[in-house]
Amino acid sequence: MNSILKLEFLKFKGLDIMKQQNIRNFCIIAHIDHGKSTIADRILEATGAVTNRDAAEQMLDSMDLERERGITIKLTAVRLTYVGKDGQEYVLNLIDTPGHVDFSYEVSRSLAACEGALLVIDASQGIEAQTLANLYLALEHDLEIIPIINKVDLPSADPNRVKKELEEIGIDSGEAILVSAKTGFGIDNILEAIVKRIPAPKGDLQAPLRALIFDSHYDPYRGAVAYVRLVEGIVRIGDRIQMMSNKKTFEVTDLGVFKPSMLSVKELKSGEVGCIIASMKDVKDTRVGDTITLSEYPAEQALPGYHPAKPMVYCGLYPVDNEEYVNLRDALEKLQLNDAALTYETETSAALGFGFRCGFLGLLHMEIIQERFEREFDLDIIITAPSVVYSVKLTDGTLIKIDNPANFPPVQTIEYIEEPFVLAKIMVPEQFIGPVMELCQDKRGSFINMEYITPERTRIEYKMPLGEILMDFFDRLKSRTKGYASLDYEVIGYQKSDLVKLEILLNGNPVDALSCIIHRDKADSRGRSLAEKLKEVIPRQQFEVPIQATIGQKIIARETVRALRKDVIAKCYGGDISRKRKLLERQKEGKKRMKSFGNVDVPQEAFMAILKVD
Amino acid sequence: MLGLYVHIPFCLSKCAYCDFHSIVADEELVGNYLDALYNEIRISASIVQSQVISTLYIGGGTPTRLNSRQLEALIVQLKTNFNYAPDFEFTIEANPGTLTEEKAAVLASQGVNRISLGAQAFQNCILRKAGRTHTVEDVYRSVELLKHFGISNINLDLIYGLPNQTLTDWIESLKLATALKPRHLSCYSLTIEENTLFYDLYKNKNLQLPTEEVEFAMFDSNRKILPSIGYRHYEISNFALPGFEAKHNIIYWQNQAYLGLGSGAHGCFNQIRYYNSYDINQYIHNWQKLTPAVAHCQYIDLDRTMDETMMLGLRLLDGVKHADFEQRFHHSLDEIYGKEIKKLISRGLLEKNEKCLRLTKQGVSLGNLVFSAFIRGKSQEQTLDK
Repeated sequence: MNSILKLEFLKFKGLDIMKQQNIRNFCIIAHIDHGKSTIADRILEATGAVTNRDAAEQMLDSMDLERERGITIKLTAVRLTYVGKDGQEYVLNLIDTPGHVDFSYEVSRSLAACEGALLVIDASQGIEAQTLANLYLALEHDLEIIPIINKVDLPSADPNRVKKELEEIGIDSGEAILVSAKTGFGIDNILEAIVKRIPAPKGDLQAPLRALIFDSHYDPYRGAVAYVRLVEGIVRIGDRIQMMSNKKTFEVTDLGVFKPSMLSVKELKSGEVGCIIASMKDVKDTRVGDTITLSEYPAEQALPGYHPAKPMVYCGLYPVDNEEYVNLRDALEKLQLNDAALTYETETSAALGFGFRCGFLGLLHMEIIQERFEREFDLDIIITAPSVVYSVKLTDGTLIKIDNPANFPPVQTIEYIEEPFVLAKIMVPEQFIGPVMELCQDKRGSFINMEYITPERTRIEYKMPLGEILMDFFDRLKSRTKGYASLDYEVIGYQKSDLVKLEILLNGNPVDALSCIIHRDKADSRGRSLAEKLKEVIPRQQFEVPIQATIGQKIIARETVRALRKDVIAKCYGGDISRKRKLLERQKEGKKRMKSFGNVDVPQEAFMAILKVD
Repeated sequence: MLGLYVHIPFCLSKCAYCDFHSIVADEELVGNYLDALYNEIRISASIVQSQVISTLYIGGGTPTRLNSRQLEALIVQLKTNFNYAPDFEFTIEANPGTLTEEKAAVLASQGVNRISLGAQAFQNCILRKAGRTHTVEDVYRSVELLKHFGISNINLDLIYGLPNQTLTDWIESLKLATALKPRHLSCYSLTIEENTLFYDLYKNKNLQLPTEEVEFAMFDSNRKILPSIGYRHYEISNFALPGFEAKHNIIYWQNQAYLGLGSGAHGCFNQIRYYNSYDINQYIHNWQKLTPAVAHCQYIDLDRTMDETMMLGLRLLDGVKHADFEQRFHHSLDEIYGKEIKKLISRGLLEKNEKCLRLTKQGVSLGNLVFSAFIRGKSQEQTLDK
């Protein structure tokens, strides 16, 4: 046996003898920017999963986009080996979680695969809205919480204040571990705490297989890959597995664990975390939340799954060039393979032609998909302003759901309209309470509750229409609070509102993709500012372009984009050619994301203009 | 056939609008520069030996900033080293302030057959404001002088949209200019370029420019007035009596080959665009040692050549001829740009007949909308080995 094979053999053997009581499954939860990924990196280094030198910064965030924006979008699982102070060897499975509110759905997925969670709090920032949201999620899943106060090396760090805040939310601050992920201080204490405090999995090895799919991704060569946590039983290569939701069966061709690159294993056992590859062609067959069992020795009951991700925000996606429609569809298909939360269906707009209505978990999710479009597919697309799903009761008694303002039924056929409301929880230092309340009132919010945690932390709760949150709420909140406020929200149901459809006419022709639904009280002012904003963003064209904002048949605002009289390079001789060409390239670049309606060219910003008006 | 451009990067003073490569230099530097330039002339001529030069253009800067002896020596160098077509066009740029009788005599005797005179405006207050050192009287004197020495093929450069210039001023300039019976008129819209005095003033809102409407009216008056008295509008900014179009500049607009000699001169030869170092001392240093002073060169592939042929060719009011394009690229215009052409025609910016594709009247004023549509892809910086 050559030495490499021998090594592999020993590894397999090592896994075989690994007892369930020496496994710890945990995740890290934190508010965005509190250092979750850096802590994960340090843990990976400390356990030798990666060496400091070859660690690309923030190992787990594997997408370029994630690394650049410093956020985690997709979750990942890594298997670590750790020899505890008791001399025993442990397998630690770290399951990464996304930090942003949009992805709380993904957070709950990873929580279900763990027994414990590290709750990371920035020593200077303290507890934020998402710290709480994630903590409550973790507690719902009965996880053991290990509080970690990070960035204690910073001069502004105030661990005592954070401890006080922890006590306020019912966590024993004596258990908190002080850490500086930057310097590596305290990382060994985290590892010990994971082993000591987080319970081992307790599944029955003899029971029929029950593996919870907590994520999946599509690999062009191997098909759909299911990331699973085995709760009971064993799965081996060659086994015939069955999806408990649709009863489809597949033969297991490979099993793997991540260290952090994938390492094939012969079997996965109760308590372990890994992936199953079974030549599943369709990512829909590895539906997240589903339970995998064995077809010849099936479990009776599936594990409690998750609520499927429900898109909250919809927008239209259209190719700038109608001929690119098919390419856009292909791109969406590919994106969806790796992002089950993205939904889309075909849509036609009188103005924009053939396109897609896409559903997202939230605004950040939408932005990320847009960016991935531009980076991964060279497509010029027009994205329309996001909209929530309205529930419209018609006079004939039927109830319809509308996710696109363009499709609103005629006013005379509407009995009433309901829109989704959220409970917005905002954490903010005391001195900003006034401005925050003012903003919430302005956004049609109704006050629910206010709680003083410490002078630095006040929690304000407002009931607000989700549609208003889409309208630039977060940016405004940040700017009114010098960036101190943090926001979390959950949808709490539908409620009647007095809403109207604001339509925009360019050159006398209605542009359906520019219409939006707004509250009647704000219709006039929003209509005026939208028309003004459109005048700013629509470039001057060959002809004068009148812009009209209307409600029903009534024109509430009118602006004009003046005609462009002259736009021509005066001099172009031998030495000018390359320079003038660059000038024209820039001009062309500016036209790239413009959609032509007849003779009017409308830039992408115009479709988002409604988000930027007061 | 090849065009030849020679750059003289010296002026007596810098004009407020000008961002051309030019400095105010002492006599020693000018002398050294000319010596270096002669070396470049000799070496370049030996490289293109068999090629016939169809046009020669000496520009600047201010070529007439050189003294008559220097001018003569330069022209002799150029004439003895290259082969010229029998009827070649030989243009030199002249500044009304620096053109003396002596220099005019040299130019005429050395075969210069076309003069481009920077008149710019016919109101002394406007000239002063623009940083010009000459007066309206100098323009009259220069034209007289040139005619006296038998050079009648004169172009007058004029600028509209200058600070404090009114529409009446501009129309007056057109009338006074045409009264001098030049063969050719260039009417340029003022462009505020970075690194000029005007740019700084403009940024600090200290420049009283005509409004957009007035500027457009000036532009429009060119194409109303000049053709009515015989000047054909043949390029966006250029007008000529029939047969007196600037042959050298047409080389640029038809995207043909030309050599550039001198510091900061650009050339386009064998599908390579290049330019010489803008650093005059560097240029001198190199050519003293017979080393080329090319600062940058770039290979222009076929697609890019097509795009630039359109961007430049459509500047000519006769447009791009179907036959010329097909002969050069072995594809029809519609095969390459069918979609863009269709759209621009439907928008009334282009028109097509059996001979050519050209700008409409509105297309001339909105040329950039047309030119940019023919630019496919972005410039790839491909620097070649010299």
